[in-house]
Amino acid sequence: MTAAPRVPGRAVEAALRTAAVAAVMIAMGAAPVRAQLANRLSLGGGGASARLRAATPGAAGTLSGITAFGTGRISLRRFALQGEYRQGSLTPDSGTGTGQDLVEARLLAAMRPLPWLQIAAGPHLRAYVVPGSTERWVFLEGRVRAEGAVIGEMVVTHLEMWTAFSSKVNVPGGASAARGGEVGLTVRFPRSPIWARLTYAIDRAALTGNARVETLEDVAISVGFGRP
Amino acid sequence: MRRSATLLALVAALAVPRAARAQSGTVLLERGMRAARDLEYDSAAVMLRAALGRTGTDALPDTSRGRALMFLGATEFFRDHRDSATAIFGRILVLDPRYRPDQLVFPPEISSLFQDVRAGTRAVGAAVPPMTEIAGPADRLAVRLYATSLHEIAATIVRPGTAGGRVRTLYTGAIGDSLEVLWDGRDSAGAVADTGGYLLRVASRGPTGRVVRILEVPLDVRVSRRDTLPWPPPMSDSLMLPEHAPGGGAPRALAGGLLAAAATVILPSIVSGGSQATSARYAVAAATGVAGIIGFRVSRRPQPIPANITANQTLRASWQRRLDTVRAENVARRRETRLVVRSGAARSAAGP
Repeated sequence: MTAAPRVPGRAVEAALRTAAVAAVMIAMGAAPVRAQLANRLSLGGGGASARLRAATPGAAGTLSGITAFGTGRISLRRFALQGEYRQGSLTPDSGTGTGQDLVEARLLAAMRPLPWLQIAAGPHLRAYVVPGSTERWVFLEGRVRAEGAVIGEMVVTHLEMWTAFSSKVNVPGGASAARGGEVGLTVRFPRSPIWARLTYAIDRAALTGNARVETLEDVAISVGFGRP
Repeated sequence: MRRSATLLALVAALAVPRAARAQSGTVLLERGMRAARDLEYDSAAVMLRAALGRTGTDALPDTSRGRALMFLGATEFFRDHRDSATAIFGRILVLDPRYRPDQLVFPPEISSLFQDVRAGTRAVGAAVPPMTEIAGPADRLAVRLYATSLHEIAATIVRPGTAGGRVRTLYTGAIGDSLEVLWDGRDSAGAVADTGGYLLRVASRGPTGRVVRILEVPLDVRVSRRDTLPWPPPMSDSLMLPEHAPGGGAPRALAGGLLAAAATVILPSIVSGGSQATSARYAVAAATGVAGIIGFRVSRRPQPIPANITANQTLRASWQRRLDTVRAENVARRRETRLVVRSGAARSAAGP
C-alpha cells in the first residue's frame, strides 16, 4: 500500500514562503546590509535521506524517503535563536505497508560559552502522519555541540548530542525517553557568506517500557547564507 | 769736414741705442714714430725695435705693439728692406687679423703692401668672452673668429692630455671676414664636459690643405652640479612583519576530522545500540576523515597572515614611493648642470 500524499498545514507553507522571501531580500539587499545580516542571520535549506526504523518486541519495520528542510538562525553575540522545519514522505522499504509523512519542527535557544562549544535547549515537535491519524511527539530537549576547524576556518566539523528532558507522545503508554546525535561537516566558502553542510543525524525515541522504539536517521545536505 | 761728419753720425748711431735702453717702450715708440716722420728711418728702426724689445714694466702695452710694428714695417719698407717689412706686416696680422693701417698716416704703397701681405697670410684671431656661464640648454660659449683672408679652418675643442684629445668639432669650412662658433659645453656624444682645462683650437689651412697656423685659446671649464640626494636606506627586515605563521594545528585538524569520522561510525551504537544503522553515514564519515587529512596537510604549511601581508605591502609601497621621489629629484638635479668657462690668452703658432 502506497502512502497518499499529504498536504502540510497552511502555516508551514506560509513559513516557507516567508523564509524564501527573506532569503531573496537578503540576497538582493545592499552590500553593507547584506554583510551585517550575514553576520547575524543565517538561512539555509536542503534535503535529507531519512530512514525510520520502528521496532516493537518481535517486529520491526523500516521506512525511508527524502525530506526537505529549512533552517534559520539569528545570532546576537554569544546567544542565538535557531529553528528548523522539515517534512517529507517515508515509504516502507519492504514495499508493503502504509507510508507516512514526517513533519518536524524545532526551536532552540542557544548559547556559546566557548567559541567551539554551544549549548541549546528548546521544544522539538515531530509528527508521523498516516491516513486517519497523526502520531505527535513533543520533546523538550537539551543539546551540546562541539565544533572544530579542520581546514583553517573554511571547513569545520561538529558533533552534537541531545537528550530530551521531557517527552510526550499521543500514543497510549506515553513516551519514555529520547536522545540523539549529529555529526557533520560545514564548508564556508572563502570571501562569501555561502556555506554548505553535510550531516549525519540519528535519534531514538521510545515508548514507555520500550513498547516501541523509533530510530530516525538522516544524511542531509544543505546550503545556506550567513553565519552557520 | 766729411770725415768729421761721418764720425758724428757714428757717434749718434751708437749713442741712440744707449739712450734708448734707458727709456720705456712707450717713450721709445713716440721717439721712433717721430724719427720715422722726420724720415730718419735708421734711427726710427733702432728705436722702434728697442721699444718692441722692452720687457717687464718698460714693455709696450699690447695696444701699442701693432702701431709699433706698423711703423717699423713702414720704416723697413722705406729703408728698402721689403722682405723685412713683409715679415713684420705678417706678424701684425697674426697678432691681430683685423688690423688696418691708418690711411692718413701711411702712404698708399705701404697700405698696398700690407694688403698684399694680408691676402697671403692665413691666420685667425679669436674674441672669447673672459667668462661664460652655461646653465641652460640655450646657453653657449660664443667665440668670434676673425680671419686675415678667406681660407679653410677647423675649429675644435680639445682636451690636452687625453686620448684622442678632440672633444667636439665646432666648425669646419671657409672663413672670410669673421665667423661665430658656439659651444654648448658638451662633447660630441652629448655628455657634459668634465671639469678641467680645454683648448679652443683653430687650425688655418693653406691652399694645399696643409695646416699653416694654429690658434689656441685655453679654456678653463668648471662644472658644478647640485648634490644628488642620497638613496633612502634599504628597508630593514626588522620593520617587516612576519607574513606567514609556522604551520601549526595540523595534529588538531587531523584529530578533529578523524574523531568526527569515528563519531559518525559509532554514533548509532551510542544512540540506539547500533543495530542496522544506515550505511549512508559512511559517506559522511569519509568526508570528515578526508577533510581531516587535507586539513593536516594544509595546516603543516606556513599559513599566510593577511593583515601582516597588507601591512608589509603598505610599507614596501611607501618605501618605493620615497625611492621614486628621490630618483626623480636626482634626475632633475643632474640636468641642472652649470658650467663656467673662463678663457685665457690666445696663442698662435705656425702649423706643423
